[in-house]
Amino acid sequence: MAEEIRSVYQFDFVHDGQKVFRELLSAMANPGQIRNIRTQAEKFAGEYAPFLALGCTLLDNEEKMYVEKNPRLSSELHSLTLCREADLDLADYIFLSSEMNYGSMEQILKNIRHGTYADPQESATVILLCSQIGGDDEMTLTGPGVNGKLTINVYSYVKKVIQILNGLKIEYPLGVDLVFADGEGNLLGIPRLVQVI
Amino acid sequence: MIDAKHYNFAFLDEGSKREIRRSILKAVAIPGYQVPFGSRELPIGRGWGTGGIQITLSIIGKEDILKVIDQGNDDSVNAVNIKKLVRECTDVEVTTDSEKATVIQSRHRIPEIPMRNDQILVLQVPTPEPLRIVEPKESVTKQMHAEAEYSGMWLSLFEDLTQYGKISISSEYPVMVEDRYVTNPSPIPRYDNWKLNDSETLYLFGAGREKKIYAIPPHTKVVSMCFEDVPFETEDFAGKCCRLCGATGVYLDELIDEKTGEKVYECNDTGFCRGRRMRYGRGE
Repeated sequence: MAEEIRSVYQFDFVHDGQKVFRELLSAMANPGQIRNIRTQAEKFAGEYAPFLALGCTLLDNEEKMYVEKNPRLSSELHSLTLCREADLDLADYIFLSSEMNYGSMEQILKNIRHGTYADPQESATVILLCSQIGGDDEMTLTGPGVNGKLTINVYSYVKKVIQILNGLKIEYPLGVDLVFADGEGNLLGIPRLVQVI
Repeated sequence: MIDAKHYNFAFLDEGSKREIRRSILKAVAIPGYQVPFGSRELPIGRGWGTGGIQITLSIIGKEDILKVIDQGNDDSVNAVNIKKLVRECTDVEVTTDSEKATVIQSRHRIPEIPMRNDQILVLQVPTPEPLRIVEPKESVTKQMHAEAEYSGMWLSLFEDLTQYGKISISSEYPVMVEDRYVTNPSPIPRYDNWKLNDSETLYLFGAGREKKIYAIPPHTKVVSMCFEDVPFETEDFAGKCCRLCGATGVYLDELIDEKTGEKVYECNDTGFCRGRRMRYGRGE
């Protein structure tokens, strides 16, 4: 008897990809506004669903990715998008699928691509999965996209990672852009000019 | 025939959309910086708004409502054709009401009604490089931006001032974004420059022929370049009003009344003018 063939994911690369992109664009243009991609991420199974939704929106065989210590996620992203893995200092997108100690985080942020003065867009975007984005730590943001100052309550890891990046004092327009995602599909974008004060 | 049946949703293939989307995200992260991108062929010639169209096609979704304006006009040839192309390959709703639209593509104007944070304005840009008037080589202007070397631009403004007694640039008036990049705000009139500063909305600029995308996110510092003792001036419409809707304090087109030979004025933003006339019951 023939078995029914079912797709391992229901994510529609055209329409779901567009929706994820718009949420991501809104998150990057309005740092501090938490956006949500849960409806699209749920079309993948497993704990890395938000990463897979973001990966399928951004990656293809023209880009290079680095996935920190997670060969299963790396292989899944590759099979979905054909994106190749590269060394940390060459990758366009860095996926950090678990919360890391702050020393390692600083090393990663120091060693990834920051772009050049002539081509600042040739810098890495770091996508971090954390257990939650919202939390008890108060964080005040300022910079383009923020109306003056914006105070939000975030998980301590989120605040600390942004502070580490700010602490590196990378001279603008060089820099690194951060995207935080959690299991609920929440997104928080922190472009390079945004500072925690 | 271009329609949703024979082409991918929003005409472009997904690989092209992804590349444009990645460029848009970088542009948002580096306000005012021109991100190079692989401009695609479209069924509209380069120089007819293909940069703006590629951005619109890459961001638009089924739930969006699109408005397209050309020099403030909803009904001009360029606006009508762009609207037709996007509608036929997406089936999205189109409107002339700037408050109803979620995505507005524009050539040469920012709508009169202030835009909201949940809207996006896509501007078509013929010449994205503001330094082109002082330096013809792309490799040199790129390096000038890298070094924030804008003395040539200042000198050009000063020469204009000494020659004409005032800065004579009428549109594409250069702006400084976040104290770092000199940027061309596209050929919007000087009148619209202030709308870029600390705005509620996201501005995306696309130059298809020159293969550049840049952005001004909401609440970004945008300053029109001028001198301490020669402040920036916009067009002055004091004492003038639209002959159709009576609006004052808006950007007006100057026309000659064929019967009387007198100068008359009409709102440049036709959607805004039509809305006012409908609201206040004024005839044509």
